[in-house]
Amino acid sequence: MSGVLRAAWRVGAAAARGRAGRALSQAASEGGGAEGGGSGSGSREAVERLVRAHPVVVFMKGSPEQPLCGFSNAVVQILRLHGVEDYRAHDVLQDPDLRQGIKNYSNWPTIPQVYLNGEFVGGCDILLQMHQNGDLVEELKKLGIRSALLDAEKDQDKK
Amino acid sequence: MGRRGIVGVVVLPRSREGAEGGGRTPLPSVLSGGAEPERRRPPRMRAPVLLATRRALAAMAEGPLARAIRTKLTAALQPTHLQVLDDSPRHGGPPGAESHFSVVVVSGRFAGLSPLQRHRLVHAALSAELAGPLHALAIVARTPQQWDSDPRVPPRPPCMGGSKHEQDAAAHGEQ
Repeated sequence: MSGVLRAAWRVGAAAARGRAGRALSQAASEGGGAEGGGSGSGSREAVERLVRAHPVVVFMKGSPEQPLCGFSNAVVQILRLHGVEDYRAHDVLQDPDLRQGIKNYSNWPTIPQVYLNGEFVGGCDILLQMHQNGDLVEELKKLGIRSALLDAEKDQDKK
Repeated sequence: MGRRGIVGVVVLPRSREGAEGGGRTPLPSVLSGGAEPERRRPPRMRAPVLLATRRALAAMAEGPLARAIRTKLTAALQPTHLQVLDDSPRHGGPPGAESHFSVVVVSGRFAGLSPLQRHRLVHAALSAELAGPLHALAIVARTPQQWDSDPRVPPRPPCMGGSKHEQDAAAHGEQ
Protein backbone atom coordinates (compact mmCIF):
# COMPACT_ATOMS: atom_id res chain seq x y z
CA MET A 1 0.00 0.00 0.00
CA SER A 2 2.74 2.44 0.92
CA GLY A 3 4.48 1.73 -2.40
CA VAL A 4 1.29 2.59 -4.26
CA LEU A 5 0.94 5.80 -2.31
CA ARG A 6 4.52 6.85 -2.89
CA ALA A 7 4.06 6.24 -6.60
CA ALA A 8 0.81 8.17 -6.59
CA TRP A 9 2.44 11.11 -4.86
CA ARG A 10 5.27 11.20 -7.38
CA VAL A 11 2.88 10.93 -10.32
CA GLY A 12 0.59 13.54 -8.86
CA ALA A 13 3.37 15.96 -8.17
CA ALA A 14 4.79 15.61 -11.67
CA ALA A 15 1.41 15.75 -13.36
CA ALA A 16 0.30 18.69 -11.30
CA ARG A 17 3.22 20.70 -12.55
CA GLY A 18 2.23 20.10 -16.16
CA ARG A 19 -1.52 19.97 -16.03
CA ALA A 20 -3.68 22.81 -17.30
CA GLY A 21 -6.01 24.47 -14.84
CA ARG A 22 -9.31 22.88 -14.13
CA ALA A 23 -12.12 25.38 -14.41
CA LEU A 24 -14.13 24.32 -11.39
CA SER A 25 -11.39 24.35 -8.80
CA GLN A 26 -9.76 27.40 -10.22
CA ALA A 27 -13.03 29.25 -10.12
CA ALA A 28 -13.48 28.19 -6.55
CA SER A 29 -10.02 29.37 -5.56
CA GLU A 30 -10.37 32.58 -7.47
CA GLY A 31 -13.84 33.06 -6.05
CA GLY A 32 -12.42 32.69 -2.60
CA GLY A 33 -9.67 35.11 -3.45
CA ALA A 34 -12.01 37.62 -5.00
CA GLU A 35 -14.31 37.84 -2.04
CA GLY A 36 -11.40 37.53 0.34
CA GLY A 37 -8.60 39.91 1.07
CA GLY A 38 -10.88 41.73 3.45
CA SER A 39 -11.74 40.77 6.99
CA GLY A 40 -14.90 38.97 5.91
CA SER A 41 -13.41 35.91 4.27
CA GLY A 42 -12.28 34.38 7.54
CA SER A 43 -15.47 34.92 9.49
CA ARG A 44 -17.48 31.96 10.72
CA GLU A 45 -20.31 32.82 8.36
CA ALA A 46 -18.04 33.01 5.36
CA VAL A 47 -16.32 29.74 6.21
CA GLU A 48 -19.67 28.08 6.90
CA ARG A 49 -20.82 29.08 3.41
CA LEU A 50 -17.70 27.57 1.91
CA VAL A 51 -17.87 24.24 3.70
CA ARG A 52 -21.53 23.80 2.83
CA ALA A 53 -21.14 24.79 -0.82
CA HIS A 54 -20.31 21.28 -2.00
CA PRO A 55 -20.25 17.71 -0.63
CA VAL A 56 -16.45 17.66 -0.77
CA VAL A 57 -14.53 20.77 0.25
CA VAL A 58 -10.80 20.99 0.80
CA PHE A 59 -8.73 23.81 2.26
CA MET A 60 -5.18 23.40 1.10
CA LYS A 61 -1.98 25.08 0.04
CA GLY A 62 -1.93 25.55 -3.68
CA SER A 63 -4.53 24.03 -5.96
CA PRO A 64 -5.38 20.49 -7.05
CA GLU A 65 -3.55 21.20 -10.29
CA GLN A 66 -0.56 22.54 -8.47
CA PRO A 67 -0.40 21.64 -4.79
CA LEU A 68 2.30 23.57 -2.96
CA CYS A 69 2.62 21.33 0.05
CA GLY A 70 3.23 17.61 0.38
CA PHE A 71 0.38 17.12 2.84
CA SER A 72 -2.06 19.03 0.65
CA ASN A 73 -0.89 17.04 -2.34
CA ALA A 74 -1.52 13.82 -0.45
CA VAL A 75 -5.17 14.83 0.02
CA VAL A 76 -5.50 15.63 -3.68
CA GLN A 77 -3.94 12.32 -4.66
CA ILE A 78 -6.14 10.29 -2.35
CA LEU A 79 -9.26 11.94 -3.73
CA ARG A 80 -7.96 11.30 -7.21
CA LEU A 81 -7.41 7.62 -6.44
CA HIS A 82 -11.09 7.41 -5.53
CA GLY A 83 -12.05 9.17 -8.73
CA VAL A 84 -13.21 12.30 -6.91
CA GLU A 85 -12.30 15.14 -9.24
CA ASP A 86 -15.33 17.34 -8.67
CA TYR A 87 -14.80 19.15 -5.40
CA ARG A 88 -14.21 22.65 -4.03
CA ALA A 89 -10.60 23.46 -3.23
CA HIS A 90 -9.52 26.67 -1.50
CA ASP A 91 -5.94 27.85 -1.52
CA VAL A 92 -5.27 29.35 1.88
CA LEU A 93 -1.99 30.80 0.68
CA GLN A 94 -4.07 33.25 -1.38
CA ASP A 95 -6.09 34.44 1.60
CA PRO A 96 -4.53 34.90 5.04
CA ASP A 97 -7.90 35.66 6.60
CA LEU A 98 -9.36 32.42 5.32
CA ARG A 99 -6.25 30.62 6.44
CA GLN A 100 -6.81 31.72 10.03
CA GLY A 101 -10.59 31.57 9.79
CA ILE A 102 -10.67 27.93 8.78
CA LYS A 103 -8.46 26.99 11.70
CA ASN A 104 -10.74 28.86 14.10
CA TYR A 105 -13.83 27.29 12.56
CA SER A 106 -12.66 23.71 12.90
CA ASN A 107 -10.47 24.31 15.96
CA TRP A 108 -7.75 22.53 14.05
CA PRO A 109 -4.27 24.01 13.81
CA THR A 110 -3.06 22.81 10.43
CA ILE A 111 -3.72 22.74 6.71
CA PRO A 112 -4.98 20.78 4.73
CA GLN A 113 -8.51 20.36 6.05
CA VAL A 114 -11.13 18.12 4.48
CA TYR A 115 -14.89 18.64 4.84
CA LEU A 116 -17.45 16.07 3.76
CA ASN A 117 -21.04 17.26 3.64
CA GLY A 118 -20.12 20.36 5.59
CA GLU A 119 -18.52 18.39 8.37
CA PHE A 120 -14.86 18.52 9.24
CA VAL A 121 -13.33 15.12 8.71
CA GLY A 122 -9.67 15.77 9.41
CA GLY A 123 -6.36 16.45 7.74
CA CYS A 124 -4.04 14.45 5.57
CA ASP A 125 -3.27 11.77 8.17
CA ILE A 126 -6.92 11.03 8.87
CA LEU A 127 -7.88 11.00 5.22
CA LEU A 128 -5.06 8.57 4.56
CA GLN A 129 -6.29 6.35 7.37
CA MET A 130 -9.83 6.46 6.03
CA HIS A 131 -8.52 5.58 2.61
CA GLN A 132 -6.57 2.59 3.95
CA ASN A 133 -9.31 1.16 6.14
CA GLY A 134 -12.15 1.58 3.67
CA ASP A 135 -13.97 4.32 5.58
CA LEU A 136 -13.48 6.82 2.79
CA VAL A 137 -15.30 4.61 0.31
CA GLU A 138 -18.20 4.43 2.77
CA GLU A 139 -18.26 8.15 3.47
CA LEU A 140 -18.22 8.94 -0.23
CA LYS A 141 -21.06 6.49 -0.76
CA LYS A 142 -23.13 8.40 1.82
CA LEU A 143 -22.60 11.50 -0.31
CA GLY A 144 -23.76 9.69 -3.38
CA ILE A 145 -20.24 9.45 -4.75
CA ARG A 146 -19.10 6.07 -5.99
CA SER A 147 -15.42 5.55 -5.36
CA ALA A 148 -13.39 4.55 -8.40
CA LEU A 149 -11.67 1.96 -6.25
CA LEU A 150 -14.88 -0.06 -6.14
CA ASP A 151 -14.80 -0.34 -9.90
CA ALA A 152 -11.14 -1.23 -9.78
CA GLU A 153 -11.94 -4.06 -7.34
CA LYS A 154 -14.72 -5.26 -9.58
CA ASP A 155 -12.36 -5.46 -12.51
CA GLN A 156 -9.93 -7.43 -10.42
CA ASP A 157 -12.64 -9.86 -9.38
CA LYS A 158 -13.54 -10.48 -12.99
CA LYS A 159 -9.98 -11.49 -13.79
CA MET B 1 61.48 -6.68 10.73
CA GLY B 2 61.89 -6.70 14.46
CA ARG B 3 61.15 -9.98 16.14
CA ARG B 4 60.42 -10.31 19.78
CA GLY B 5 62.03 -13.18 21.56
CA ILE B 6 59.05 -14.58 23.40
CA VAL B 7 55.59 -14.35 22.00
CA GLY B 8 53.66 -15.72 24.93
CA VAL B 9 50.09 -17.00 24.98
CA VAL B 10 47.87 -15.64 22.29
CA VAL B 11 44.23 -14.97 23.01
CA LEU B 12 42.32 -15.26 19.78
CA PRO B 13 39.79 -12.53 19.10
CA ARG B 14 36.13 -13.28 19.73
CA SER B 15 33.87 -14.25 16.83
CA ARG B 16 32.97 -11.33 14.64
CA GLU B 17 29.21 -11.42 15.10
CA GLY B 18 29.21 -10.15 18.60
CA ALA B 19 32.06 -7.72 18.50
CA GLU B 20 31.67 -4.82 16.11
CA GLY B 21 33.72 -1.71 16.00
CA GLY B 22 36.15 -1.48 18.81
CA GLY B 23 35.37 -4.82 20.41
CA ARG B 24 37.95 -6.86 18.62
CA THR B 25 41.41 -7.09 20.08
CA PRO B 26 43.80 -6.77 17.20
CA LEU B 27 46.45 -9.38 16.67
CA PRO B 28 49.93 -8.11 17.24
CA SER B 29 51.36 -7.53 13.82
CA VAL B 30 54.23 -9.90 14.50
CA LEU B 31 51.75 -12.78 14.80
CA SER B 32 49.74 -11.92 11.75
CA GLY B 33 52.90 -12.34 9.78
CA GLY B 34 53.17 -8.70 8.99
CA ALA B 35 50.06 -8.83 6.79
CA GLU B 36 48.42 -5.98 8.67
CA PRO B 37 50.02 -2.59 8.32
CA GLU B 38 52.06 -1.36 11.21
CA ARG B 39 49.45 1.24 12.23
CA ARG B 40 48.09 0.62 15.65
CA ARG B 41 44.32 0.64 16.01
CA PRO B 42 43.10 1.70 19.41
CA PRO B 43 41.78 -1.38 21.18
CA ARG B 44 38.54 0.42 22.04
CA MET B 45 37.24 3.91 22.56
CA ARG B 46 37.97 5.25 25.97
CA ALA B 47 34.82 5.34 28.07
CA PRO B 48 34.59 9.12 28.61
CA VAL B 49 35.04 9.76 24.89
CA LEU B 50 32.33 7.26 24.06
CA LEU B 51 29.97 8.81 26.58
CA ALA B 52 30.60 12.30 25.27
CA THR B 53 29.97 11.11 21.73
CA ARG B 54 26.73 9.49 22.76
CA ARG B 55 25.63 12.67 24.49
CA ALA B 56 26.49 14.77 21.47
CA LEU B 57 24.52 12.47 19.21
CA ALA B 58 21.56 12.55 21.58
CA ALA B 59 21.65 16.32 21.68
CA MET B 60 21.62 16.42 17.91
CA ALA B 61 18.78 13.93 17.83
CA GLU B 62 16.42 15.80 20.14
CA GLY B 63 16.27 19.56 20.28
CA PRO B 64 14.33 21.54 22.86
CA LEU B 65 11.04 21.44 20.94
CA ALA B 66 11.33 17.70 20.45
CA ARG B 67 11.91 17.29 24.15
CA ALA B 68 8.93 19.51 24.97
CA ILE B 69 6.71 17.49 22.65
CA ARG B 70 7.89 14.27 24.20
CA THR B 71 7.35 15.55 27.74
CA LYS B 72 3.86 16.89 27.08
CA LEU B 73 2.63 13.87 25.18
CA THR B 74 3.97 11.58 27.86
CA ALA B 75 2.22 13.56 30.58
CA ALA B 76 -1.08 13.84 28.72
CA LEU B 77 -1.39 10.38 27.21
CA GLN B 78 0.91 8.01 29.12
CA PRO B 79 1.92 6.32 25.88
CA THR B 80 3.26 2.80 25.79
CA HIS B 81 5.21 3.78 22.69
CA LEU B 82 6.18 7.27 21.58
CA GLN B 83 8.23 8.39 18.65
CA VAL B 84 9.00 12.05 18.03
CA LEU B 85 10.71 12.89 14.78
CA ASP B 86 11.91 16.25 13.56
CA ASP B 87 10.97 16.22 9.88
CA SER B 88 12.16 19.76 9.30
CA PRO B 89 15.14 18.77 7.15
CA ARG B 90 12.71 17.08 4.76
CA HIS B 91 10.85 20.37 4.38
CA GLY B 92 13.75 22.53 3.36
CA GLY B 93 14.79 23.53 6.85
CA PRO B 94 18.31 23.00 8.15
CA PRO B 95 18.88 20.06 10.50
CA GLY B 96 17.56 20.94 13.91
CA ALA B 97 15.12 23.53 12.53
CA GLU B 98 12.35 21.97 14.61
CA SER B 99 9.40 23.29 12.60
CA HIS B 100 7.84 20.12 11.20
CA PHE B 101 7.36 17.07 13.38
CA SER B 102 5.79 13.68 13.09
CA VAL B 103 4.74 11.73 16.15
CA VAL B 104 3.72 8.15 16.68
CA VAL B 105 1.68 7.86 19.86
CA VAL B 106 0.48 4.52 21.18
CA SER B 107 -1.80 4.91 24.16
CA GLY B 108 -4.69 3.18 25.82
CA ARG B 109 -6.29 6.61 26.21
CA PHE B 110 -7.23 6.40 22.53
CA ALA B 111 -9.52 3.43 23.00
CA GLY B 112 -13.01 4.11 21.76
CA LEU B 113 -12.06 7.44 20.24
CA SER B 114 -12.38 8.32 16.57
CA PRO B 115 -9.25 9.36 14.68
CA LEU B 116 -10.44 12.96 14.87
CA GLN B 117 -10.86 12.78 18.65
CA ARG B 118 -7.46 11.16 19.03
CA HIS B 119 -5.74 13.83 16.98
CA ARG B 120 -7.53 16.53 18.95
CA LEU B 121 -6.14 15.04 22.16
CA VAL B 122 -2.65 15.28 20.72
CA HIS B 123 -3.27 18.84 19.57
CA ALA B 124 -4.59 19.78 23.01
CA ALA B 125 -1.44 18.44 24.66
CA LEU B 126 0.68 20.51 22.29
CA SER B 127 -1.47 23.64 22.05
CA ALA B 128 1.31 25.96 23.22
CA GLU B 129 3.78 24.54 20.74
CA LEU B 130 1.25 24.65 17.90
CA ALA B 131 0.56 28.29 18.71
CA GLY B 132 4.30 28.88 18.50
CA PRO B 133 7.18 27.26 16.66
CA LEU B 134 5.47 24.00 15.69
CA HIS B 135 4.22 24.56 12.18
CA ALA B 136 3.34 21.08 11.03
CA LEU B 137 2.47 17.95 12.89
CA ALA B 138 1.87 14.54 11.37
CA ILE B 139 0.19 12.15 13.78
CA VAL B 140 -0.16 8.40 14.08
CA ALA B 141 -2.39 7.64 17.06
CA ARG B 142 -3.13 4.02 17.93
CA THR B 143 -4.17 1.92 20.85
CA PRO B 144 -1.64 -0.65 22.07
CA GLN B 145 -3.72 -3.41 20.47
CA GLN B 146 -3.76 -1.63 17.14
CA TRP B 147 -0.04 -1.01 17.33
CA ASP B 148 0.69 -4.65 18.13
CA SER B 149 -1.27 -5.82 15.14
CA ASP B 150 0.15 -3.15 12.85
CA PRO B 151 3.32 -1.30 13.83
CA ARG B 152 3.80 0.18 10.39
CA VAL B 153 3.84 3.94 9.92
CA PRO B 154 2.63 5.35 6.59
CA PRO B 155 5.24 7.10 4.46
CA ARG B 156 5.44 10.84 4.88
CA PRO B 157 4.60 12.90 1.82
CA PRO B 158 7.49 14.69 0.17
CA CYS B 159 7.77 18.40 0.74
CA MET B 160 6.60 20.58 -2.12
CA GLY B 161 7.72 23.93 -0.86
CA GLY B 162 4.70 24.79 1.26
CA SER B 163 4.62 28.34 2.45
CA LYS B 164 7.86 29.18 0.71
CA HIS B 165 5.56 29.83 -2.22
CA GLU B 166 4.03 32.75 -0.39
CA GLN B 167 5.01 36.21 -1.51
CA ASP B 168 5.66 37.56 1.94
CA ALA B 169 8.49 36.00 3.89
CA ALA B 170 6.30 34.71 6.66
CA ALA B 171 7.28 31.66 8.67
CA HIS B 172 7.44 28.61 6.50
CA GLY B 173 5.31 25.73 7.61
CA GLU B 174 2.01 24.02 7.26
CA GLN B 175 0.00 26.36 9.43
